[in-house]
Order: sequence, then structure tokens, then C-alpha cells
Amino acid sequence: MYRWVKVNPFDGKHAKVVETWCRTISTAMPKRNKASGANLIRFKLRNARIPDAVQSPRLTPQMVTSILRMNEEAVEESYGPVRSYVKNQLQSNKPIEDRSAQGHLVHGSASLFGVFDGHGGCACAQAVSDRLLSYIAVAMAEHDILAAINNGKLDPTTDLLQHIGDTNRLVNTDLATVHKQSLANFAAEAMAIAHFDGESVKDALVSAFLRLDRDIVTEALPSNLQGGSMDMSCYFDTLAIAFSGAVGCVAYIDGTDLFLANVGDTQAVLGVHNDNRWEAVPLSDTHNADNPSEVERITRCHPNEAPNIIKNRRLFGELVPLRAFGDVRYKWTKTDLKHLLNTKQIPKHVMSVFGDNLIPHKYRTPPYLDAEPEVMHHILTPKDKFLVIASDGLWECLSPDKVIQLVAGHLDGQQVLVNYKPNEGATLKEVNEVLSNRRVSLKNRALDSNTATHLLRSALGPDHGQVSAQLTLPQPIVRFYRDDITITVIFFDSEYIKDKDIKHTR
Amino acid sequence: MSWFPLNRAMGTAGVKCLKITSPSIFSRRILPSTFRAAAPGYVKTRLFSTAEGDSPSPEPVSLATPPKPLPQQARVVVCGGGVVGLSVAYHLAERGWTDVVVLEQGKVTCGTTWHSVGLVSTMKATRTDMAMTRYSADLYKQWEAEGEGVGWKQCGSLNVARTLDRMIHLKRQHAVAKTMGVESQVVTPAEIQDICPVLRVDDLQGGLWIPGDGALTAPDVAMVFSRKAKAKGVQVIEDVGVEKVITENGRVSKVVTSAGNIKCEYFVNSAGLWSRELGKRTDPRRVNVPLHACEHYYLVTKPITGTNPLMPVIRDYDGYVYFREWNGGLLGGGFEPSPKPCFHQGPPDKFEFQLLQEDWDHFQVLLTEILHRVPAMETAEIRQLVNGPESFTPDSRWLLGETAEVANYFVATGMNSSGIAGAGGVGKQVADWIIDGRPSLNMWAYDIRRFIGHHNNKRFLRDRMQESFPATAVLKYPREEYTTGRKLRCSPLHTRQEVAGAVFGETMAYERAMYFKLDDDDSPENEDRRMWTYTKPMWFEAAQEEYWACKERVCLMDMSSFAKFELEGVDGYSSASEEVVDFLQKLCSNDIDVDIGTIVHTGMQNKYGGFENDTTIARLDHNHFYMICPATQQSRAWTWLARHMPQDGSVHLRDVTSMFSGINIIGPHAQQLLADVSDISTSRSDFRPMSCKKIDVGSASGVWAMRLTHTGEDGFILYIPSEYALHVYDILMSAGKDYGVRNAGYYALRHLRIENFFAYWGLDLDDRTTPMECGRGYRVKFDKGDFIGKAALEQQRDHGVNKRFVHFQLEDYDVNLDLWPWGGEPIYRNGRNAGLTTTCGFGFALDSMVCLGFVRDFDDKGVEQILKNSNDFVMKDAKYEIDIAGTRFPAKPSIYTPKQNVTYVDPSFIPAPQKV
Repeated sequence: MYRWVKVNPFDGKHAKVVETWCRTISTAMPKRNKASGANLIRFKLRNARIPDAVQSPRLTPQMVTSILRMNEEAVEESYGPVRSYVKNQLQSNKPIEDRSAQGHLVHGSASLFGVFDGHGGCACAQAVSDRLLSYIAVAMAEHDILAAINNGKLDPTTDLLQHIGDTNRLVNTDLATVHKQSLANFAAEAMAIAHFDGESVKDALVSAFLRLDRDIVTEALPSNLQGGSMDMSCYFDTLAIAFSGAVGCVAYIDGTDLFLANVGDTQAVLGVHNDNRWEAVPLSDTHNADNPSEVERITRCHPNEAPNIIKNRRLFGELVPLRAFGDVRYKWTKTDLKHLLNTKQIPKHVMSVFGDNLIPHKYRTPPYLDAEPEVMHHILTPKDKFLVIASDGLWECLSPDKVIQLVAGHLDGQQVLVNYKPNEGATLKEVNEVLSNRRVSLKNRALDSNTATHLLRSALGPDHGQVSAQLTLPQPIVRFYRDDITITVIFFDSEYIKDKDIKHTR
Repeated sequence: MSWFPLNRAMGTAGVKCLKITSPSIFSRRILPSTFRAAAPGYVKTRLFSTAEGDSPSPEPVSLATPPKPLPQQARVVVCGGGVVGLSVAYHLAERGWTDVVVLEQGKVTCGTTWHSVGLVSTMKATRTDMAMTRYSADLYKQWEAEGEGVGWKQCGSLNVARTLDRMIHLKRQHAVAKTMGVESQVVTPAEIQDICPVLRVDDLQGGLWIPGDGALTAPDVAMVFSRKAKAKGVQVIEDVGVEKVITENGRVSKVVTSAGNIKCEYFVNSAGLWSRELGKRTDPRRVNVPLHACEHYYLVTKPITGTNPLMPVIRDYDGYVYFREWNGGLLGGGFEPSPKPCFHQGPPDKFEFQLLQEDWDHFQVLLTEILHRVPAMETAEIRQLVNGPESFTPDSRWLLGETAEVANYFVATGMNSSGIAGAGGVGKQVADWIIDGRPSLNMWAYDIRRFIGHHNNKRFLRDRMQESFPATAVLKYPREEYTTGRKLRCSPLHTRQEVAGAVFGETMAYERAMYFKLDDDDSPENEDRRMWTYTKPMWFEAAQEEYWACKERVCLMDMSSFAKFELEGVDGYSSASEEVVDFLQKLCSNDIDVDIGTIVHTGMQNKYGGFENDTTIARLDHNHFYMICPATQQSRAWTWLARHMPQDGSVHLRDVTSMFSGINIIGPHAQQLLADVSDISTSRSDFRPMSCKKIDVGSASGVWAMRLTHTGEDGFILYIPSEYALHVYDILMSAGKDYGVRNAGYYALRHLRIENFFAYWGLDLDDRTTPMECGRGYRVKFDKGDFIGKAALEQQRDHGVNKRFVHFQLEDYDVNLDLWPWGGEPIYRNGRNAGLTTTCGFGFALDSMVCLGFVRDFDDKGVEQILKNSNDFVMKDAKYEIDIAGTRFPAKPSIYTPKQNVTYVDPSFIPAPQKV
């Protein structure tokens, strides 16, 4: 199974799994020493119920806070309409399969924010987070720049995009060379065929997504190994990338233009402040079986296969998202897959990592899966205050409306942290009005100053006992309770947008 | 010139403070004369010398005595040059004690006095409060008349009421004020509008107008105290901090200061915010001064056109706020709920003429109320928001008097934001206390011995601040309990009682069950009944049920909170020597040299014959006594006993309060119940009233059973080693099932004892009441030899008393509809004021409201006359009325326990089958 079933932790069906786990833990010790009679008593003692994880938290509030804040990040630098952004991440899988990436285009004024959610391992998500923004940069590059890349004057991986914030880049240098070559090829073809004309951002985003996925898929073909262009370990890495998968969502923000390119079930929601009310405006559709148009799209492409493709609300009964990077099991031809299995250089155990039945049952007309993003365009107005992009781990816990309320409340609470001093000459009535408004805001003041951490805490708890229980779930079962969570919140500069807006309408 | 230029500076202890360039927030126009000449140079010097510390500054212009060597010794050393310390010094000098040194670590008034608002209100909660503030007001008025310049403005004050309850509160104050000759007038909203047109009155019920009140410039008062004291020879020395107070044999002997040592006889801690820390610096035994600093806010506006300079001081305490006119503008401040305690780790060093960082968000609660009451302020501009720290005590009453820990160590501090109004009276009382050994008024409410060690716990103080700070403004109902800092001392029976529905009250931090909820107490139809009210409270029916259970069946009452002491001779319990007997004979007015196993009720008199303590003493062995005192006496009784103990160590005193739990078995079935669970005969002949035995109850051994109940009913008190208490309680409860046993609380006890005319120390009796005045002359044994207070009591016996304790039954009174008396109501004898009630409660057997109180004979000037024949004075040709919030109820007096209450119900009243 590639993706675990998302379950309600208190669902009766899975209670058994949890119970089994408890028993495993408690009986692990005595089993080893079954022979001695003394240990029989010990066994009985240790079989006693452990204290309730919520009622008597195992972690202290300080411990919970330091765990929640471990990955938090806040960048206060203003860049165009982006005033600041914050992000945070909490793992459920070990290692975590979520990734995120941010950057500015060196040529131009756009910012990019991406959140990626991997499955079947973290390799694909890692590769996508490393590479996708550069692909977009290339797809957005104009002719001169592409020419400079071809001449070797510009390095497409470093000179087009300025990464911001913490980046955990790929370390395998051989792989980096392969990736760089693929990117250079993309640049060359883009220059030759369809370079960016400055108009169709949407097309550029789509082409970048598709090209990256194509590169991931082709780099792993056994022919690359046999052709000798890669050594064994490097090839195994590309295999790992290709056989795992990733979904993702990238926000492209330039002036008042906001484009959201989405593949899979990561979501982006805009917080709009309208007449003193906060509204959640979703900017992406989720690509899974819950979305009828997606199901329809797939079944249309593969007529007469409908009952085989979507089983149990999953692709071939296995995969939740209906669009994804990697996952070549659903993209390669049956021949390619068989060829790979028969390649002598690849030991059997390597492939067994990717599952027992590499080729899905009734696999007739691949590809069944692609990485074509759905792109939405939104013109920013001064009412748009922030954008939340998060992996499905968050959205399973909190509704978009709730998320927007939480961020808005937090924003409000943070604003009053500054010590108020009345202006010279202000009347008491004016002062009191300001103070009354601040009074309401003060109630919203949260424990965490980072909005992403605030969301994370709210998603898990927000009560200490609940958060502690979530954080102390042991590795075998934590995945039943929650997915990895990655949250990026981008705050917009309303003043900047207002200026641009006025110019725009003129 | 900018009004109040501020420089930000960090306090040395990390506290954010503001250092200001003016020593006073008061404008130059009304700066005290002493400041006026020196102000510019003084200001600059102070700013640089303390804030920067590096600037070569000119010699500061000192306000007090020019620097001269510290005296080697003095009779009294007062620590603290605030208005209170200076007042104490002044009053000592007035009475001829001029060998007094006042030490101030910074400059005079630099702690709290300088930022005081300067309100002088005489309308206080009790008569004693009023007497003291009135003394202050008269003193300041007199000074202003003499041209001393304290900025006195007799603008009057107006206390307004938004609620009917507040109106009752004001009317009760008005009733008491009338008896003291303080002019006051209950006014309608329309009249309020006339007196003060800027007020919004449409939501007011009315108010109380006190024309004699006023406002003044606080630092000037301190300056006048200082000047007058110095003129008489008192030395006021600035820039000298007290480092330590050294004691010898439990007495003050020496003060160690930053400038040398001073030998002294008396020490007065008037260090305000620093008092608690100073108390800790007593060697070898620290002194507990329970107070905590709290931020207090007030706002000063720029001038508002049309402001009347003689606008009265307004107190709108239902909105927590007060107002006064200030230099053409208005000043508004208040006592908000959830205040901000500060200086939890003690005040920072060099906190002189400094304020705290203002927090406008915190002030908003008050600002809304201020603008609500005076809409004219909406358009006003801000001159300054002042956030000054002030010290508050756990019960929001001042801390005065000699400490329990060290003899001759006095405190006059913890002024709870009424330092200016209180300073005069406090100075006078403390000076009298030092010179005469007792103040001239009953000071028990302010006596620092009302606290015990735990009250000095810093966390407790900080928690309690949440209630004691707003208590200045928030209406406190009679007997209302604090809710913070609770559940500290709990008896072993606490949990059982809680399960049984007990509602607890707190005395000396001890949780005591006041009553047990009835089944329908929480039902919806009883929703609107209130625990705290001026009328019939919600516990009335429950107390009634418990009362009758005590009268006709049997009840268990937890008496564990009583202070308990054990006294024994150095050679053990049963030695033939009589040190303890001699010691107690000296202290007690009753004869305690009784048979072993006998209990004596006795007063412990001071040299004026007044009750220092009212105790029950059981002679357990020849030289071994067990003493039971009211819970509030735990600290005071210990001090009194310890100070009079023989110096040779022949008497051992132990506080066993926490070692023993007390269960009171009250009621006619008590005798049979106790017999059932123990193996003794409890018949009246075998177990006489006022006797005690060591018995086994159930499986618990070593229980002291005493046949008395403190209520006038028959029954027993068991003093049980605490670890057995639960066992004994459970045994009694199960054995008593068929006797109708149940729990009873303190309200039942109170009603029983009030109806039975049982006076309680601290409530009815105090150190100014003698046994002759409360009908207990029979307990004074003049022929037993000498004891403290004998001469004074003989004088009273032969020549008459000042007052007489009387039991009143109200007539034409409806307990369900009329306002209740709660103590402190004026008593009128033939239309003339004759004193106040002390405690009141409904007498269920008498079926009437009972008030206890002292009747006096005041002449036209209000001076007490000696009552030659007090019985006749009380009973003959006298018609009584009791004034409850302005309504006078006729009252029937009695100087004995009413007859129907003294008949004991014999438990054998049920006719047994006769043998033929």
C-alpha cells in the first residue's frame, strides 16, 4: 500500500490495531524470558493499563512547545505584495515525507511558494521540492536568459532562482549533475520551441510541472543504467524518486497576480477580510476520488476500465491522489516495468522496497497518472490578507474556514503586542475607542507567536493533553492518527496591493 | 513647558520604570513651598545622580536635615520617610517623645507619598476607620487654617450608587456617620446633578454627600509632619537605609544602617513598599509584614474649560473609579478588578520618585467607566497616565501595631492606597500604642497580629491582591468571604464535609464549614437567592435546620480551627511544682487553680481590664493545662503568653493547633451518642459540665472530651489527635444515625450563641471591653491573688462601668422582608445614640432577630459617662431603637440569656416503660 488509510483515531475498525500495539509493547519484555516463573508475575503486572495519554499528559507544556516550534520559520522580509511568511512542519512518517520550498525569481519580481507531500517514501517529494521551482524559473525565462544558459553563462540551477528560508537541498552530487543536465535540456528545448512570452504564466507553470515529471520518469528508465550514463548508486536514487510519489501546490505571486498550480490533494486557501468578516476562498481543487470531475477525467481517458481503475476510492485500490509526480508504476508501460524487473544489475530486494506486486492488477493502458497541474489565477485585492498552503495533514484536522479564523484571530492578537501609547493631542474618547478595539484583540493573543505553529497546535489540540497525546503516539501507529503536516502562511502587504490596484485600474 | 517630561530608564532590578524629571507630578503652581525654591536644581541633580550616576553633580539641595552624623542611640527609630512614618514621629514628638530618628533611604516622600492623589475621605467601612480618617481630616484642616499650606480644598465628596445594594451600603455608612457627628446627606440623582453638573446621573440610584471631605497635596502633608516633628527635636535623616534590625531577648535593640548603627528601644517599620523585605531583615528572627505591591493607575487631563476648581471628589465605586479636579483638568483613577501586582521579588533599589511603565490596555476598563460617568472628559486631552505602585494587605486593611515576633517592633504600613486619609489617625494611634502600650481606639481590625506566618507567603499575597486591591471599590457584603488564597488549612474532615455539601468560610486561612446545602438549594426556583446580601441570605433555611438539629437532636461541628495551646511545667505534667498555675493565675482573671479535669472559662485581661484574650482552659494534670482560644487569636494569644512567660524557662508553651482536630457534639442526644461510641458513662453526674476526660472513641485513643460546646447548649467537644479525627467522625456519624445526627456549620453555631447571649472575642469583646461590662463579673475572682488588670477591674466594680453588653430582640421586624442587621448598627436609647451593635443573628427559638451590642451613656459632647448602676441604666425607663440603613426598629433589651433558652432538654424525656 502506498498511502495509509486516513482514519478517525476512535474509529472502531482500527481500535484493534491500536490495542494490538499496546499489547505488543506490554508483552515484549516477558516474551523473551518466558521460561522463568518470576517473569510470569511481571508479565501480569506489566499488562496493567497505561495512564490515559490525554488526561495525564506524558509531555510537559514546555516539551510540547519546544517540539511544535522545532521546525518553525518566519521570514519578515517584504518582497512585492508579500509582507512576510511563516511556516512549520510536523512529522508523522519517519522520515517525514513533506517538503516545502520558497524562492524569488532572479529575473523579474515574482515569488514562489511550494508545499509538497510525498508518499511511498520522501525521495520524490525531496526531488520535486529541489527542482520544481527551477523548472518554473526556466519556463518563465525569456529568450535572452535561455540563450545565456545555453552558452553556459548562467547556471540554471543557481542563477535563475534565489531560494529563501531554510532549504534542505539534495546532497548526492552525481544526482545533482543528472538533474542539472535535465534542466539544461529543458532550457535548450524551451528556447528552441516555446520560450516564455511574458503573457501566459499559466502555460509556463503547466509546462514546468509536466517537464519535471517527464524528467523524473525518464531518468529512471533502465536504459540509463545500461547506457552507462549513471553509476549504480545514483541510478538507485533516481529509481527511488521515480517509484515514490509526490503531490504539491505552488503559489506564483507577481504584483497583484496570484497563480496557484496544484497537483494532488495539497490545498491553498486565501483569507479575505470582507466587511469585518473573514472568508475562506479555496484556490485549489483536490485531485482525489472525492472530486467527481477528476474521476470523470480519468475514466474518460481509459474507457471501459472504470471499475478497475478507481477501487476503494483509490487508483487501482492503492493510491489516493489522482495526479502526482513520480509513481512510475502507473506511468511506465508494462514492458518497461517488466524490463526493469528482469534487469540483472538490480537485485530483487531493491525492487521489493517498492512493493510486492510492482505491476498493478489489470494494468492495460498506461499512463494512468500524470502531473499536469490545475492552475488558478486570482487578482489580489487589498481585502486579501493572507494565503495558507498546507499539506492534507492539516486539512484533515481543520476545515478551511476554521484555518482562516485561526490565522485571522492570531493576526489580530499579534498586532496588539506592541505597547500602546496615545498620540499627542488625542482626546480621551479617541483613546478609549482604540483601546476597546485592542481589548477584543488581546483576547486573541496566542501562546505561539508563529502563526504556522499556532495552526499546528490548534490542529492537534489545542488542549495540552490532546497535543501531548498526539506527539507521544508511537511510530507504528502515529500514521493512523495523522499525516505529516506542513503549513506555509503568506501575509500580503495590503498597502502595496492598494497602490498596484490603483495603477492597474488606471 | 511640557507638563511631565519623562525619561525612560531601566530600574536596576530589571523592572521597567520611568524616571521623571520632577519630584512631584504636581505643577509648579502648586508645588509645596519647600520644593518651589529648590525645584530646578533639585530636579536635575536627582535625575543625573540616580539615573546616570556618572555625571559630576552639584550637592543636592536637601529637603530634610542637612547631613550630620547619625546619632549613636535614640528611643525610637522610624524607618520610612513617607507620610505615615513622619506622622508617627510627629505624634510621638507631640506627646513629648522627641528622642526619635526617622530614616529615609532616599528622599522624604520618594516612595509612594509623592504620587498620592491626596483624597481625604471620612466615610469608611467602620466606626474606627471613620474616627481615624476624621482625625486626619481635622488635623489637615487645622494646618491649612494655620497657614501651613497643605493645599487643602474643602470640596466635599460625593459617593454615588448605581445599584440598590450600593445605596444600602451608603445608607448604612450614613447611619454610623450620624452617630459620630460627621455631616453627611443621602441625595437623589437630581440633587447629585445640582452638586456636580458634569456627572451623568441617569443610571444612578442616588448617593451620599459629605460636605466636610476634601482633597489636598499629599507631599505637602508629609512635609508639614516632617517640619513640625523636627521643630520638636525629631531628626529626619535622608539617604540612610536600614540594613538590619537586631534584637536581643526578643526585643528590638539596635538598627544597622548604611551609615552606622543606632541603639534604640523601639523600631517602627513604615517602609511602605519595602516593609515586607525590611521585616525579613530582622536578626535573628524575621518579622512577617504581609503586603504586596500593586499597580495603581490614575489619569490626569489637560485643563477642561468650565471645570469648577471646587468640584467635589466623586467616588463611583460601582464603576471602580474616583475623580477630583486637578489644575483645571480632571483626575480620574480607580481600583479595577484583576489588577497587576508588581515587585513580586521586592522593589528595586533606588526606586525613588519613579513610576512604572503605563499599560493603557490595562487602564481601558477604568477609562470606559471614567468617560461613562463624566462624558465631558471625552474631548479632554491627556496630560499624564500615572502608574504608581502601592502596597496592599490580604484583607485590604492597614497593618499597625506591635509585631508578634519581636517586642517593641511596631509597624505602620500597608496603607492600601489610603495613606493620606489614614496618616494622621494612624500616626496618632501608633504613637499612643508605643507610649501607653495600647492605642486609644480598638485597633484589632488593623492589628498585625491578626495574621499568622502563612499570610506572608509571597504567592498567597500576589493571589489575594486580585481581590484586596479592588476591595477598595467593589462592594463587599457583610461577612463576604475572599475566594483567592483559599483551601490552605483544611481539617481532616474537610473532604467528608465537602461531599456532604458544606459551604466553607475562612478564618486565619482555616476552612470552616459555614453551613451544609439543602437538597433544593441548587434548584431553579432558588436561583435568584444570594449568598451575599443585605437581606435574608440563601443559607438561612439551611442554618435553621441545623439550628433545630442542635437544639433537639444532635449535630457534629468541626471546631478544628480553634487555636490550641498546651502549657506544662519544666518538670513534666504531674510534678508538684506550680509554675504553670502561678503563671496562669497571673494572666487570667478567673481562678484556674481548680481540680484536675475541670474546665474554666476565663478572660486574660490587660492592665486596663480589657480582654486580651477570652479562653477556655482545661486542667489536664497538676501542672499541665490545655488552652482553647478563638481561631483569630492564634498569633495574638501566643504573643501575649510568650511575652509574660517567666524568664527562667520554667513554663513550656506549645501551639498544638495543628496537632488536634476538634469535633463538637451538640444537642440533647450528644450524651447518649458519646456513651455509645466510648466506654464511659456520660451521665450528668459522671461527666459534669465543664469537666474533661481523656477517653477512647471507637478505636481511637487519647481523645480529650470536654463537656462544653461554646454555644450554651449541652454537648461535648472532642479534641482528637488529628490522624484519628476521620475515624472518630465516621464512628459518630454511623452510631448517631438513629439519633438524627447530622453536620452543622458555623452559621448554626453563631445563631445558637447569639441567641444564648454568648459573647465571642474579636466579634463582641475586644481589648477595651472588661468582664464587668459584658456580664461576666462572676468570672473575675478578686480574692484569688494578684492578676493583670485586677486594679482596673476593682475600680469598675466599685465605681461603675463605661458600657454594658445587652441582648436586643427587634420588634416589628420581618426577617424575610426587612434589611438584616449585621453588626455595626447604631443603637438609640430614648432617641440618643448609645453605641453600636456588635453581632446579630436570628433567634429561631425566640422567633425574633437578635442583636448584641454595648450600650453607653454619651453626654452632649459624645464623651462616655460612667454607669454607676448599669442594670438600671439599661433596663429602666429606656426605649431602644436600632437603626438599620436609616430605618429604626424598636428593640427589647435584656441583660440575661432569655429564659426559654436556658432550660436544658433532658434526654430522658421520653417516658420509659415502667416496671410493674
